[in-house]
Amino acid sequence: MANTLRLYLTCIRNTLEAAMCLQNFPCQEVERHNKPEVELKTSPELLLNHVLICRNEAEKCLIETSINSLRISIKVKQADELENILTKKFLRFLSMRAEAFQVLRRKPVQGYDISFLITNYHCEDMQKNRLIDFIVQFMEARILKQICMKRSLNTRGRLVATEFLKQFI
Amino acid sequence: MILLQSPSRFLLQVLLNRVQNIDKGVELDCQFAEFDDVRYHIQVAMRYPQFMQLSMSLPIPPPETIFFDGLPFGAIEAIKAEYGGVVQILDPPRDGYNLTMKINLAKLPVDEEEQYDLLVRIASLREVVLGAPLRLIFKHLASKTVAPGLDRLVALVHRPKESFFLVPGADKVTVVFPMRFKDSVDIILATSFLQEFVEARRTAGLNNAPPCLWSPTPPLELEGAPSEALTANAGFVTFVIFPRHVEGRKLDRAVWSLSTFHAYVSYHVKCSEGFMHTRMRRRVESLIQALDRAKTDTEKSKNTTQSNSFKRLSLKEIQSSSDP
Repeated sequence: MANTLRLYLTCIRNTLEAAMCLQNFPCQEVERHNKPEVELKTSPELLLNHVLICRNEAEKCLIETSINSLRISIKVKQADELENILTKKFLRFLSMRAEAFQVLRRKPVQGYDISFLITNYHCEDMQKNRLIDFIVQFMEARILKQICMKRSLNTRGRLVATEFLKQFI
Repeated sequence: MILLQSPSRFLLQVLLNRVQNIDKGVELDCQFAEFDDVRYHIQVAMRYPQFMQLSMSLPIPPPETIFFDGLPFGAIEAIKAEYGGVVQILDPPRDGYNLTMKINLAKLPVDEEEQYDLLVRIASLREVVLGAPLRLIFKHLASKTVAPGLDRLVALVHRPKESFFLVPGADKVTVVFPMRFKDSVDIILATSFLQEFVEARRTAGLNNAPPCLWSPTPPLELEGAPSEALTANAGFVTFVIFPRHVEGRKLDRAVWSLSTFHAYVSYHVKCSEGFMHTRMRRRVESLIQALDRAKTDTEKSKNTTQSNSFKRLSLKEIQSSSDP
């Protein structure tokens, strides 16, 4: 389990390292505009091939690149309703604080749970390897935390039930 | 606090406060509410400091519940048996309340411990009134008989317009709770909690606890109940209570825990939601820190100078800049 997770994350890290070579590129259509090309998709020559990394059917990561921006979309596994609400709540928490996160896209790409949009400005502001560290760390923590949170909820439920039933003994 | 406490903290505080300052005449008129729409009203008149009027309003009962004069059956007798001469029930009760009683603080026992015990019992009025029918049925169960007239499905109110059901028998009483929650997250959490009840019952230490079942559809025991009582979005929980569960001192605990079962589950659902939120907040903070670490040091110093987009100008500066 932990091993496949590490492979998955290493693969993402390597892909990101290769993909994150962004440069400043003003918009070709409108003068004095500078927009992330991966979002607008105005000219096909500025887009690069996208990469889809799958751990299994439910967990995948899509990396789309262009000349001046990079988009990472992540789909998290949601095995049951409990995991579903845990994910939904956490993602809502994040999107409400998107200002503080800068690289977070307010709305995930369709079919995914969370998206990051990294532009050349972010790469100039921050160290590239640290940024990659952040993304990978985020994914790792996300997966491990979900398991941990679910377990703690179940433990709590068990404790509550036990205490209640002890009343009758 | 894992289990809900039976005495109302606030009511107990007021009672203790009154007893300690019994000679001081105070005008007191306050209302307060408890979970599941139980409301209290306390009144003390300036002229009669030794009397306290306590009114209680119960959740609105659904049509299938039997109420006598606005109270569950057996409640009046239970109050009389519990408090004796200290309490006098006023008839009719205050407008908007189901029960009004006058507490004579001068008649309290002199011994301090006994006095405190009685005050705690008065503060547990909710248990006495709402738990009265349950207590009656369990008392009969403990002596392995069936209460007269109570041999078929009995509905007892526990939340506004909602009730739970009992099927009394001579050797066992089946208690069925239709569990309803408003919020969709609550439903999911509660369902997983309720399944834990079934799981927990199977562990070795709880072999003697009441058998517990959870099912998404109404159990067979509920045959004959009105159709609106048979819809529950978090399923149905069934406890089978045997005489050994309500023997002696266990009776009080059984009555209290069963009459507040829904509140208990809902309380813990809310608590775990709060817990989840705290954890997520902490996580988000640590992630933001991780992102901040990615910024280069030079960038940090640049940021601080840039953040002052607005420069505060004094009057002199404005004048000097406007007339060069």
